[in-house]
Amino acid sequence: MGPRILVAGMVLLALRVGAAQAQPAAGDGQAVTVRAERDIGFFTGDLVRADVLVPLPGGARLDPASLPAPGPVTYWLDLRGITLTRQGQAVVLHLVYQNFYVALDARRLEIPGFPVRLLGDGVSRDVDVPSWTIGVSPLREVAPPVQEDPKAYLQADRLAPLLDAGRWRMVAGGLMVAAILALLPLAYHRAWGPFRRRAARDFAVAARHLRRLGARGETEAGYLEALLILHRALDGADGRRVLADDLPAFLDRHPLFAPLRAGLETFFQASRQAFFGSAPARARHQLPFKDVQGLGRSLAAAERGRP
Amino acid sequence: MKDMASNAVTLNDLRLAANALEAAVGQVVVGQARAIRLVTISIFARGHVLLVGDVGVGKTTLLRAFGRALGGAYERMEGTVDMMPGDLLYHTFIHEDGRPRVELSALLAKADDLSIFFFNEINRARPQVHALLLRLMAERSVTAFNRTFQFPFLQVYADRNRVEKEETFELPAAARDRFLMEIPVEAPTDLEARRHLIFDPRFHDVDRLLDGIAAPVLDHRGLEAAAARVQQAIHTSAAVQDYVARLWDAIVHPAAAGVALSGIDMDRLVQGGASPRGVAFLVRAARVRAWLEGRDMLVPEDVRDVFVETMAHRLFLDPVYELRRESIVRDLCAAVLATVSAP
Repeated sequence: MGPRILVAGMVLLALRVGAAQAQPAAGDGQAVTVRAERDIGFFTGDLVRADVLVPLPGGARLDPASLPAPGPVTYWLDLRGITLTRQGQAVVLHLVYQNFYVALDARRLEIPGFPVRLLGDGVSRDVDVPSWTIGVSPLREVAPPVQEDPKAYLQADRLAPLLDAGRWRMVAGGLMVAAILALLPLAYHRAWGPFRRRAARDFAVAARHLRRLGARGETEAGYLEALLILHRALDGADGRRVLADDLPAFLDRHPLFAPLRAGLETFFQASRQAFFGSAPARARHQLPFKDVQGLGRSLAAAERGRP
Repeated sequence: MKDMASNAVTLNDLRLAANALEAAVGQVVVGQARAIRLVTISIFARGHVLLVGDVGVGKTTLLRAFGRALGGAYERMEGTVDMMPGDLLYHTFIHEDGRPRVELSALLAKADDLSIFFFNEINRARPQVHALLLRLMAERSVTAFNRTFQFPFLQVYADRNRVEKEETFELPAAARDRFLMEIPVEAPTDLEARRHLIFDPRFHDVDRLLDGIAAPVLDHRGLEAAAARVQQAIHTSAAVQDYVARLWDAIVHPAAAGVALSGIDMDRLVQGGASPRGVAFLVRAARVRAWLEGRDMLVPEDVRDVFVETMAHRLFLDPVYELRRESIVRDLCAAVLATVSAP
């Protein structure tokens, strides 16, 4: 008995499913439903949100062109936006209206329905989204109590809310630290502040070389080398080649060495004799090796006065 | 007047004569001390000179003044686009008997005595004329009327128009290299000198101005021997020879010598032109400078002092840089002098 009823029920079910596929009519029990978050207590300017569930029977789909376009719906109602989400065998239209009705008393207003089109298997079919009502309310009494001062009709502005800036302060502080850290490589690159390079101490190096040269004993080649060491130090200190005729200009550019003018003049004269007059002996007589060393030391001492 | 060929004249006396020459010219040409010094050097180095400078700065006056102070003949020629070599050599005219005549040009007529030949605006003349001039400069002789004319005392000065480019013919490399120096003649910068030049009527009549040099202070016929003696007398040490060799190296291969100019590809900047003849000219001029300074040895300062004027016009730059030649060559020479060590 039981199995027979079960088989009969299955056959009936199969027949019914076939009928539903062949004829996807509206009268199949799956109606369009409107779900609003509330239906009373709307003031002027309030947003009215509603979700409309449109069932899609038998693989049909919604024609997006049939949806209402955002814009004014009636003189008191605007459609602000419409979005779709798919929900199983149905599609949900998320509608956002805005109410502009200035109500003088609490009353119900009808949000008009609209048709949407379902497409499927080469046929299209219109389905109506039904209208529904919302209750709108006035913001204030029709005749407010008489006030002496017309300003009293105005409500005081609300205070601006105090935002929590703690997090942003932290972010700003962090970025500041990062900016200062980023300055360090720049300062290094541009030789600012602590990275300022001190000018090379050419004469200190020369004086050291001359001392070492003196320790090796005095020869003519050594003497010429000593002169060359001082020449290169002078070149280095001036950033160019300093010849005998350049001495006044050199001392103008580096007044630090001005007290050594006489010594430098003797040096250049001796160097001229040694290198260009081919008379090193005369040069050694004019400016002995000891004096070359002494001049180097004096120049190095003067150089230490440089900032 | 000094008889400079005689052995009794010492180099010291010669130097005094050179100083007198500079002083005589300096009396009539004001504010050009540097140009006067360089021309004096070129006279005693027996080299030909290119003059560069704006119009009206006194190049002709300078040369005429030197011509008077040196003695000997002075001749001037204007370069033009239709000039032919024959115009330098032959004077063609209709004689009073109505027949055409061809005689010696003014240049040839003065050949024996010509000390200064000024060729104005040399780049207006055609290459044929440049070629003749080249021979005249190199050999001091030309051939005309089937014989050779010698110019024993000749020094050629040429002026190059550097502003206009139409109908001009740039001097060929070989011609530029034959000039000892390129001497810039600029308007004086000293305010006092400028004021004199503008307001002092003495400077307005060049002929009367030049009358201020009454008689030659030198004998141009002895210059050749004097120049040889100067070259012999100046000691050139191994150190200064090294210095000149390194300068030469640095100007021909600036990149290898560590010379750098901003925005310029040093590897391709100098295409050539600093010839051995050019460097020999440099040393020749530097020796004369040392002698004029009262020294008996050549020092790097002498070389440096005449370096730009003797070397700059010999350099051949990459065509990309040729338009900015003047400033680039000046910077290059300065950088080379600042880089190469002496001694």
